[in-house]
Amino acid sequence: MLSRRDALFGSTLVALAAAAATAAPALAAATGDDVAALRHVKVDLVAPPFVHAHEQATAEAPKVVEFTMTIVEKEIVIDSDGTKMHAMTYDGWIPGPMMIVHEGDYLQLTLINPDTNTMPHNIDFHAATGALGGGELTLVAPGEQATLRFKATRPGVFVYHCAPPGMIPWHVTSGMNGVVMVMPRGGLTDRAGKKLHYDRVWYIGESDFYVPKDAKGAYKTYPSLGDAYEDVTKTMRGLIPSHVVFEGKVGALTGDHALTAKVGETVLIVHAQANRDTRPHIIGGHGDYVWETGKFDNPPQTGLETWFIRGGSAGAALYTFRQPGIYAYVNHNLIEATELGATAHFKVEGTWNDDLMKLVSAAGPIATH
Amino acid sequence: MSIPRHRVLLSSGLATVVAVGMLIGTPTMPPTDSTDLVILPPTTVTYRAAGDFSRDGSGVDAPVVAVTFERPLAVMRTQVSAAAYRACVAAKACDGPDDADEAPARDDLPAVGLSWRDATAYAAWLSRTTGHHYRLPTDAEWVRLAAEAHVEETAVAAADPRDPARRWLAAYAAESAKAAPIDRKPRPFGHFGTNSHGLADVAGNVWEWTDGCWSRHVDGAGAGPRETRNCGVRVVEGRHRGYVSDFVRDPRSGGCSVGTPPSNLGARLIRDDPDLTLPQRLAALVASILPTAALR
Ligand SMILES: [Cu+2]
Repeated sequence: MLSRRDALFGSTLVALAAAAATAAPALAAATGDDVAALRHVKVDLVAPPFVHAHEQATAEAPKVVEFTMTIVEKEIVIDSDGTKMHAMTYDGWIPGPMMIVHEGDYLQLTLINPDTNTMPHNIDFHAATGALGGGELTLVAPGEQATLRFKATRPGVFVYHCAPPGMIPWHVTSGMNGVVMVMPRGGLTDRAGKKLHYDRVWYIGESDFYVPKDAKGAYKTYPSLGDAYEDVTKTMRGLIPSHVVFEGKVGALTGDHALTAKVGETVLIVHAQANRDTRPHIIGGHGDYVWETGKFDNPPQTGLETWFIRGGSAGAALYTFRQPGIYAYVNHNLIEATELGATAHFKVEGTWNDDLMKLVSAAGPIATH
Repeated sequence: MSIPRHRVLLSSGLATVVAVGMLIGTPTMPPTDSTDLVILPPTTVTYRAAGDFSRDGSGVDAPVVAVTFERPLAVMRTQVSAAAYRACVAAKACDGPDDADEAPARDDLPAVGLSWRDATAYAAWLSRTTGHHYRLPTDAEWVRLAAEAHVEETAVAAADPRDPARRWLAAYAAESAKAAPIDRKPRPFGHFGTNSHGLADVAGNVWEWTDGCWSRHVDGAGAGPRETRNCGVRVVEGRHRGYVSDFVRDPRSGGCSVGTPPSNLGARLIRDDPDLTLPQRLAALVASILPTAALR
């Protein structure tokens, strides 16, 4: 039985559909059949902070790029003290793997939720148009899979995340977020339209975790994901993270895991935070070209000191190393960087440039006159 | 499609035979269990099945199903009380809220903030302490016990595989049209009245867990019907049906996908193998002939 309201909705929709039909020539949208005829390419995903091989500029016709991700629920260790957290992940990684296509391509994802999991999950692509970014169409219970295709209509780096009804922040801050990068077909350019190239992409996924503590201040553990839900939700509501980390763990990108480059090499650092604001800074370096909001149709800002990543977005910074040594890459809320974990290290080899920096007089006793 | 609400079909031949059988059966011991139970007569309920249904890739309304109950059903007259649940916590058989040592729990208020796991643990404890078998109702049993308090899900719109938004918008309208959330404050038993079976507070401000699992039924061209079930998400029933993860105690998050979440989560249990008293058997017999008779 339709309510009056339903009936109203129904008739409105019919009217809209009629309008769309008369306007059809102007819309020129590809039909599903047209897309099926495009070239389909399967791409294997790569664990962050690295990304799958891709062209920066492309001369090819638009295609359908197919990815598959398996959702993994697992308990992980998130710091060197052995603090444990029940994580929910895309493909087992925090952040979820980066998917790269070109503007005008179609991204097609098969999302698998194995029956070994306990929760329904889905995916909301900030790069996609409609159906809550696909979240409305992709909710899969354990034992199910769904395949969604969307057209990459605007270039940039975009967050994706899980958005199950009623439990969105818990899933997002338990690890279910990642990045789609939509390259302009001609590659990156500066303000004047000059082409910009990178030697590699470093993909930094920043997470805020909310591990509950017991009365004595010790981090609590739980037998299962569901058992942790109530306490974690309470902790989340305090808005004070217990950990702020890159790549899912304090120290995931330092020491033996520090990222390496050579003087003269150019990296594109993509930084995503699906939930909370952050402010990346390269200690000892800069952002040569920074798409702070992450959208490549906007001209990059140049020569930045620190840039701002709004929660729920990704940004990109292009930097060419000019000096060897160790760089710290931090969230420049230094409490979060040093106390909560948001620090990565870059190890850069090459020849020191005295022009850029020279120690004129080494540290010693204060000179007397 | 429109179906008559709460149509009670008396497949009366069988029902009467069963009821008479109970009436003249061997005498049994009076219950050692002080739980206030109402015995519902055998009946058939017709309702829109729980779960998600799709055909050829697009969502469709759940089918209307008829379920026949050939046996009487023993149901708690009221929801599990705060005091009863607290006793289970005190016996360390149930997970308690952290405030277990605060104000004494009342026996005239429903226990709220129960997860499915909590409700199931309580049923197991009550079974052990009474020697009877208590459990959560199935979804169909809940529809049966709710009688006229069960509100049939609104049929939304025909599937259009070319336009998933159409059904989505219609479903949103249906959700939005549901009653506004009611005050969450637990009310004494009877505050929300009794239904035609004499059960108190059905579809009040405490939703009731069922044993029903979330399920999806896919009927695709060439593929035949397939079903997936996720028992990590259970069906809750009340003013409207919801699907809630089994560990959730506060339904304001984790409840119905849009619109109004359940106000509170609690439980009303079924007792199997009821040792019917003679008046209860008579009442069941009468009710099997007069389906609207309230049973005491
Ligand atoms: Cu999820």
